[in-house]
Amino acid sequence: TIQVLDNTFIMKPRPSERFKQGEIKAIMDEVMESKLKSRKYEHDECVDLSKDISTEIKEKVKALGCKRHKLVVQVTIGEVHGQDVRLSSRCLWDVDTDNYASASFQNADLYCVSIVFGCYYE
Amino acid sequence: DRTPRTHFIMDDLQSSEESAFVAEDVNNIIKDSMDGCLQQASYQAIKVSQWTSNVIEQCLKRLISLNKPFKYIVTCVIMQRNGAGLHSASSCFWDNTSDGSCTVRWENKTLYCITTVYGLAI
Repeated sequence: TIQVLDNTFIMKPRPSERFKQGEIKAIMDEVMESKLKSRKYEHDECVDLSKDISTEIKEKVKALGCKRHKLVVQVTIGEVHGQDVRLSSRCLWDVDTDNYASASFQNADLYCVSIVFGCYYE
Repeated sequence: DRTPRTHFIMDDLQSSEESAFVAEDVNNIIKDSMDGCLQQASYQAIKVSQWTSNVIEQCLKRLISLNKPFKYIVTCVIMQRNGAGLHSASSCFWDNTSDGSCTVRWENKTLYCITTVYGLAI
């Protein structure tokens, strides 16, 4: 059996439930700053570090209260080595209700890019 | 009474097959798109933005032709090979029965490309 939620017949998120781009960016900046401030790139640590950061960002964004948005948080940590890197994304969604927020952080040894996508679930 | 109620329904096998995220199909789509766009490419900074756009556009076109009731998010990272390390993690808040993601890594002598597709059921 599947659990099915009754239709709420609400087509768009209520104003209090809209995807809060500015606040989410602030959360991401804060989490990355606190976790990565003076760290060096170390292969084994970064495996767990990237998972930690993405879980923490996800929990904090959930706490903001967008109950009807599905969230995808992607965190990429790389070593600074003089190389060039490009990260891009494209989405097929409903422009009125869905949105994203992105932030980046860099120190002498590593850089970190994180993106949060929020998709409204009817 | 506007509060949404939950109720249980019998598992409908056919409808869940048609509207489930099939990782294998998506995996093939991503691989083909990357092969098609980056086959002979040698890393060039000016061309990278074009390449990422091409890979993503190809992926999205084929995903749309699958005709499934999904919203898609496609991200693509292209990095020059010069010995630097890279970690990527993602954390998602969604419905495990209907949503899914697929990541494919591709490389040649001068560059790495990592493409991820997230599919969220409508």
